[in-house]
Amino acid sequence: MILSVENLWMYYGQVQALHDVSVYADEGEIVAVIGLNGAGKTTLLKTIMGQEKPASGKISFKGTSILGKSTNDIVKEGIALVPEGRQVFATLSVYDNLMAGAYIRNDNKEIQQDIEKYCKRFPILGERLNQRAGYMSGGEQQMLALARALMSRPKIMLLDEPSLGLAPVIIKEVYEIIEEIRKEGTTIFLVEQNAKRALSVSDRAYILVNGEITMSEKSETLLNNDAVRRAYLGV
Amino acid sequence: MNPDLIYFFQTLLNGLAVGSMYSMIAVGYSMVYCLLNRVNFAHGDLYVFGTFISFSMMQIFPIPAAILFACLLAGLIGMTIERTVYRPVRDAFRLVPMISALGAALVLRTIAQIVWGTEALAFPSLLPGGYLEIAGLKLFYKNFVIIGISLFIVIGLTCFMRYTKLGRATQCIVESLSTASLMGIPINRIIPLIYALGGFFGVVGGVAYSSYYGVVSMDMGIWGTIKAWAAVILGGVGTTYGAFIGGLILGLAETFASGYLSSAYKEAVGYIVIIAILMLKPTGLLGKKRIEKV
Repeated sequence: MILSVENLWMYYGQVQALHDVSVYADEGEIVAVIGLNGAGKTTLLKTIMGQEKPASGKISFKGTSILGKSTNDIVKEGIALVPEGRQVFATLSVYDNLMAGAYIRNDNKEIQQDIEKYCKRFPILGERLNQRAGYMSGGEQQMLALARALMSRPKIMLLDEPSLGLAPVIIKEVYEIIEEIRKEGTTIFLVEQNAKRALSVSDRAYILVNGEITMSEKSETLLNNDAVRRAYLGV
Repeated sequence: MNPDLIYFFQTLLNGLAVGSMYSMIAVGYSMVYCLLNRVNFAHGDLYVFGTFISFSMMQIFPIPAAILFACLLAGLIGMTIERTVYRPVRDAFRLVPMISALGAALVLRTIAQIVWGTEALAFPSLLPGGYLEIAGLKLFYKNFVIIGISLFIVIGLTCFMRYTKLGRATQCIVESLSTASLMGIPINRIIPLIYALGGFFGVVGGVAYSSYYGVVSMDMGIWGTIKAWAAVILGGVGTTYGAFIGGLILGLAETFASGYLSSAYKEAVGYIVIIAILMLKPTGLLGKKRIEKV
């Protein structure tokens, strides 16, 4: 188990955001959490990253607790989050965005090699290396956000709604990249509203409803589950 | 040379020197302003406080040591201000940090008044006194020293922001605290450093200002805040050289106004220039354009 979250409770003031949530990811897996707007998906990821404080529960990475650590220390451990809405540094160049992703590393030579590698993998980044990230389209920004997160060479990558606001053809490309990232050895933990995409790419999935995990199954099984199909797949 | 022309160049040179002093105070202010995105009321009182410290230290220690000590102390106070009046209310409504900063400013001002009194004090002129006369034009050495120091600071800080890891991290923090921390950037270690730099360079500007005019007084604080803020807005938020250019233009506008109209108009003309420029270019002359995507 590379990432494990146990019995997580979390409140925003009086409002309950997470209700006894337990999820995990094994090394090399793609795990998806499916939920509608406001189900608590982003809150779950933010809590794992140390950006929100849970009321109780355990979060551990490779068997060691990371609860209470600062976000930057959690990133150093080998967890990267691609935030909702991509959040590229709009006024910085593409190159500077990638450099920011490599902040925790000091092997400058290899950092430059990685930048070259991702410029090949994402040609648009190579073409726009010295342009401001804010001038790129949503799809291009998503590529940059993925590459930027990869620059830290994470063991596990958390993705917050990678399909949000993107055209279907771009969503397809994003998910192909996610599969490639897994093939290269990075575990993927993603949260999505786009259940169809997320379920077809992931190995296992959880259904999150109003801050509570209601189902935990193999993704294939969920794809064929009638209740899930009605609620999330619109069939 | 034609006396009118001599007068013009003389005013230009003075204006550049005055503008350079505004710039020095503004570049430090600019870094903190980017982070806060609102007026930092504590900056003015901090740099004057530091200037007073250097004044007292000069009575005991050699002048360079006194100035260095004052700059470092102001840096330390800047970090303390960040830790005590800004960080606890970082996520609060935007008015709250402004008020708590006003509180910090009042503390500094009150301490200064207890220690140094409420009157303006004569500050030693540390700048070279003479001048070089070319074709009737008096080139005062002190003007060139001031312009040189501020150029050095702005070029240094620009390089720092662009080419060092710490500078790049600062740019990320300026754009988004939470995304910066997702890059593994230790924001709570870097933000205090930015405040320290603001205080440090503020005092460099304050010492330059006080030696230029031969006076140090607490009133410089609020004026410094306003001028620095105006310079930053004018030049454009987000870049060091923007603050520098803004400071220069403000200094030139004021000096020409007092040279050709009357010194009573100098502040008004300075602000009219700012309003005019902002009407034409709301992000400031060199401001980074914020791109909002939905």
